[in-house]
Amino acid sequence: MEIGKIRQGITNQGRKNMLNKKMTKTSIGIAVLLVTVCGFGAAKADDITASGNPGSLIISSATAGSALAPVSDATTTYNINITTGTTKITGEINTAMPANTALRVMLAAPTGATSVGMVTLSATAQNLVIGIANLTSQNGLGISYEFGASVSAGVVSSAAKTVTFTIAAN
Amino acid sequence: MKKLVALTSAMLLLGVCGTAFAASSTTQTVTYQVSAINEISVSGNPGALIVSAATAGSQPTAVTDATTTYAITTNGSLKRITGVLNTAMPANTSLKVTVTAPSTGTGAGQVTLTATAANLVTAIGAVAQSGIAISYEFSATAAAGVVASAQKTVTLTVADAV
Repeated sequence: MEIGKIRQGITNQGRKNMLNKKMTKTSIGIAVLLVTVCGFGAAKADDITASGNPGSLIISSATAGSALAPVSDATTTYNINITTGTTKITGEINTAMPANTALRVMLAAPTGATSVGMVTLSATAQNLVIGIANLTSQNGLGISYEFGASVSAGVVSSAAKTVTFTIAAN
Repeated sequence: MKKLVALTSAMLLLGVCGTAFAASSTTQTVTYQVSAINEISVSGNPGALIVSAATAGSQPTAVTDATTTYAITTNGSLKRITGVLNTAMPANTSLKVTVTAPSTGTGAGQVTLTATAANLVTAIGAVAQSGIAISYEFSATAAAGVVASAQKTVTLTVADAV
């Protein structure tokens, strides 16, 4: 009986080992598959990145009798990589600008695409660049901001907005 | 067991692939500010104010000039325009000015200018306007005698309400 138990124990242990080997093989297979798919997926994902934040936009002058002089910043750029089809770039700010002020932005278009030009940003996404062809990959494309205010805006303390650029289906 | 592994794999793949194909976005932080801005300018200098006539029995006739204008831009509120001479006028002479108010202010009417700032327009709100009239009047009594040609600098300033 003892021998039988031992044999049975060996047999059970053998089955467990075989199962563990199978699971290990399966896990390796899944891992390879995931790596393959993930790698493939990452290559397929559209991507947009900005070079940083623009400088502070401070309106501090005007010609007597004229509106306040708007200020601009064109120190930042963006990189784009499109692999999923024809797309566009939209832009929006996290919350609306103060009354009688406007934040505008213009994105240079990648080759073959069309920039909409200077667009007044709002809390609703708006097209900035359209018709971006599949397999577009370009770096250092210009981002130009302009901040304007009428005298009715009064004095506006320093504040910040988050501008989100999104790649969307065209 | 195989079904469980397959299902888990499919879920993992869907999850991973779903993430990989999600729309991409990036953000920038934009800092903005509007400072206090108060600008005023004039179109130029008025013509020479020469008292040279009188009706017999009356004081010399005052002379006026309304050829100049001013422009103003302010994003403040309750601002005022003051006027001041660099030095006092000669005895028995007077230089007065009337500065028309912009659309958001109240004119003080004709004001005699001295070496101390005087209100010419008050209660000015946010405005950007040009071509607003300035009118000068120069007068002298007989007691002033003959006054040789001279000049005064008139300074108009946008200031806070007192």
